[in-house]
Amino acid sequence: MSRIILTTMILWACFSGFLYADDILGIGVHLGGQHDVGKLSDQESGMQTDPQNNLLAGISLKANMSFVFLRTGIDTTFLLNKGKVYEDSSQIKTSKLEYTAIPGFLGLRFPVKDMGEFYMGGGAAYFLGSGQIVMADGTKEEINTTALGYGFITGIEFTLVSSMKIYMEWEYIDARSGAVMKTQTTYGWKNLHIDYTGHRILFGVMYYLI
Amino acid sequence: MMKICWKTWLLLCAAAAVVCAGARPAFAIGELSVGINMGATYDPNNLEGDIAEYNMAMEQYRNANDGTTAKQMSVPYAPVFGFNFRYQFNFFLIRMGCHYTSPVQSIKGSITPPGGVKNTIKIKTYQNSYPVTLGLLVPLNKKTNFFIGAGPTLHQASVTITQSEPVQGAFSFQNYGLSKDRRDSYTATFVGYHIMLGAEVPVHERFTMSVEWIHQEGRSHTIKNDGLDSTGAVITTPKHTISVQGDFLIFGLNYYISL
Amino acid sequence: MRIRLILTGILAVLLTTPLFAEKVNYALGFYAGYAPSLGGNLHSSVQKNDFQSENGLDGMNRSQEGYSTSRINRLMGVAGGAEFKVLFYDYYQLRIAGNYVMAVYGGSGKTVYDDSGTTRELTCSYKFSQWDVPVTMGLSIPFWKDFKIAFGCGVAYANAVYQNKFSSDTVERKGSFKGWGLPLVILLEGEYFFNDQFAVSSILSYYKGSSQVVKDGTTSDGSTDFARIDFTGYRFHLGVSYYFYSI
Repeated sequence: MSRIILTTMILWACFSGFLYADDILGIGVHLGGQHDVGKLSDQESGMQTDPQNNLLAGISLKANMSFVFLRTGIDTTFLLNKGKVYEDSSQIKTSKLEYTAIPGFLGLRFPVKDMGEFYMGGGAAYFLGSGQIVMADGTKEEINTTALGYGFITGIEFTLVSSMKIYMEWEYIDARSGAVMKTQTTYGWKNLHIDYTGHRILFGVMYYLI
Repeated sequence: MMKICWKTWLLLCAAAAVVCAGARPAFAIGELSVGINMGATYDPNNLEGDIAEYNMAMEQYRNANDGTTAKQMSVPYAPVFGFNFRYQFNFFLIRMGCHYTSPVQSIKGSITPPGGVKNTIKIKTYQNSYPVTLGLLVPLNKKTNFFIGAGPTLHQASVTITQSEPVQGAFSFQNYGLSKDRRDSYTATFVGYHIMLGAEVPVHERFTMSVEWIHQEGRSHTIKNDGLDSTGAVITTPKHTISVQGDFLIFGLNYYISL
Repeated sequence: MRIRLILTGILAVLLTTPLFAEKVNYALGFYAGYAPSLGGNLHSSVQKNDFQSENGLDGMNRSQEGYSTSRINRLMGVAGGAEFKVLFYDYYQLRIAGNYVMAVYGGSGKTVYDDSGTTRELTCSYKFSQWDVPVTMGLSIPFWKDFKIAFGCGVAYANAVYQNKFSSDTVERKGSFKGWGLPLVILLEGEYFFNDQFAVSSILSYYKGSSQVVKDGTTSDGSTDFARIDFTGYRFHLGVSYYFYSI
């Protein structure tokens, strides 16, 4: 019996390539990265910075309906290196920002027979961020923010076996929080906002459930 | 007897697996191509913000002081020239390239305060980039494909701002928080990264035409000023960083080398 | 006037070109979409000189306890347009389009500023609208008769109007800026064909460029403002195309 099952599995692996799945609903895991998280240099004119870089890990859900796709998921970032401000006049010394994003995109897909597909869509993402800003005088401020942003996604999927694909995506979202922290000693207001805007590159593997 | 039958059966299945794998679309073992590129970008080294600040200072001064003549600096387009080597294996792509960009038109403006001397402000800039791209490609036919990729880029970038008469009694950019030096010059080599989307079509048996959209991100470390102050004395401040954030569209003519 | 003459000339040449169906095809398309961060940070000199912001709308976003403030979001625009494409020898494409974008969300809120040592509340409002005519050339790759992917690059003539208004208990500032520029345009378009002539399309375009610094056209507030009009940003559209000859 076990031999029959094993044989069946081997033959299924051989011939499954000819049984093209409809690829309707897929779940994927991916890794990626983002450069210049927080965009400190845009906060003040003349601010010279060493940008923060984050690694990204996430899960994606993709639903395909003929030439239309819906993609959502959840992404979490991990600090690779802190953002640093170089010139002495700034109140900020270093920044550390990590976030979780929940994106949603809608667009068109262009399947290339059994090889894969190219897709392109627009949408939005909701960000929940937290981090720490270290000031020039050594004090540390914890920050927690949220933001909603809009952008686009474009990517390629390539078929490994019938239900398994690898994908690579370029994602851009434009999003900013409100003012969360005071960095100007001259005034009493909070002025620093957290900028989640940026380009992300993702690489992952997707399994199509149906 | 049963053992022998089982091994035979397993061998037959393995053979079937090899045959079935071979029955999938037959990709080349690997393809190597070399290409020359030409394209365009706008505002290399991201100077638009700095140019706008100088222009705004000139316009504010002209508005407040009758008799002032001013000419704003224009943000330049720049041609891009380069070459690349590309290796494609099934759906993987490795590309190593080099591209150079520098504005052809000069970035030049001037302001002449009433009763003063003309201060001509010029900006020169260039960028040399060496991207290494890893990506996925979807092959359609022989030498027709679409790809996406990303990777690190080594940049060499330079920005030099000169002023002919930076300090006059009537006017100085310093009053607007800008430079009062005769020359501010920054040159650096640093690593950034890029994202690439591209496509390729055949034009001849061994030649293809490609188009690539490259989005670049990167910022240098702080760079010492190789500058001259308003009196001509050597200075090393203020320090500055160069941002290479920008987008390029590059067309290429590629030749496939037989392996 | 010169721009109109050039565009008329290009259209006249294209429409009178002999129609070699196997070498040249024509397409007409209509689309709509959105443009996040329309106008950029909308910085102007009054925001720096009078209200202590060095980066426009982003720097105006402040909050302080004891004051009624609300977040000022960057502008989100809705965009629409039409395109006319000429395709040569299967792979090469010339595209001319006309687009209109206007801000429909964001750009208003309340903040605080320093008025000679006194912190005051300030109501802010930003508006932006733009029309542009991009002309791009590139490659259009047909994937059998199922879909096409096109890349293009070119220049757009863009003309925009940017208005801002700031009011507090003691001050009111209004700015109105009209300017034009020639931003770089990079385009990625995918078309999915229902049949040999009709397709649904998605278009991703990137504009990079700005006008020169322009002077405020409003003088009733007694203040003169300066700003450059920023055309830089991404747009995403969905639309439909009709090809005059079968693909």
